[in-house]
Amino acid sequence: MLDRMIVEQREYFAGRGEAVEWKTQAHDVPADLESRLRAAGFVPEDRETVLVGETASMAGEPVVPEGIQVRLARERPDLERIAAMKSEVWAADYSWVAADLQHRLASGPENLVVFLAEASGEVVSAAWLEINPGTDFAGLWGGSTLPAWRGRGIYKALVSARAQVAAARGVKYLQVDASADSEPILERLGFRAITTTTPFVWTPPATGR
Amino acid sequence: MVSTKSILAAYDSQLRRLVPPAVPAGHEYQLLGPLLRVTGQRRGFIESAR
Repeated sequence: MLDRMIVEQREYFAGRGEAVEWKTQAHDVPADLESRLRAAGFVPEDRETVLVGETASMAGEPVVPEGIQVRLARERPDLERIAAMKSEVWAADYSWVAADLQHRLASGPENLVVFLAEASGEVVSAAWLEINPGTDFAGLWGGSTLPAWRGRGIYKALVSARAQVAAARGVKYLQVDASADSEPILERLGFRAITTTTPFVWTPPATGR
Repeated sequence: MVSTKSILAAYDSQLRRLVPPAVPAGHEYQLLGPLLRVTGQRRGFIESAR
């Protein structure tokens, strides 16, 4: 039954000529879901740790390092600057982020809050808060900082800024899918690991002529 | 303090297969039994119930 569902989804996206991510969690049932995905041609990307923190305890006044300005970003030029910064950080094409954020801001501006951090007009870090109405959770997503600006407290300031917004909206918990770089920072802030998540990706084969 | 087990249970019940109240233009969310399928993003996305 599960194997058939996996193949059906793979074939659905094959028909569209698109890659697809199957998001797994370490505590998924059945426990062999990941091996079934591998058998169907899905390939794991980097595992991340899912951390949760209580919003109220995270929502202190952000301590913004000297020389850094933190502000909201809503307009396309800022979103494109954020995408360019992410592309530099991850050495990959993140240009799609600008359109993605713009679409999300257009459809639900009350539930997406994007922050950027600038130094002398350069975007050096950014992150956003995604509020999930009707749940106890809001997600912290997109946190990235240029390597030269790490270790100065910018990431922490952006967590506090987003926690303040979430607290004002009555959100109980903040949730993060954290990379190995971010995990220790978040744990020092009081976040707790609840599971891990791994994206399994199937990519359609290249079509030659 | 709320136990980690309780938070994980809330996470599973509230966030998995979550369809946002306002779906961005060009995105489509489909609940297919135990699965959520999303199209229209950078790449397709599948999430299962626990």
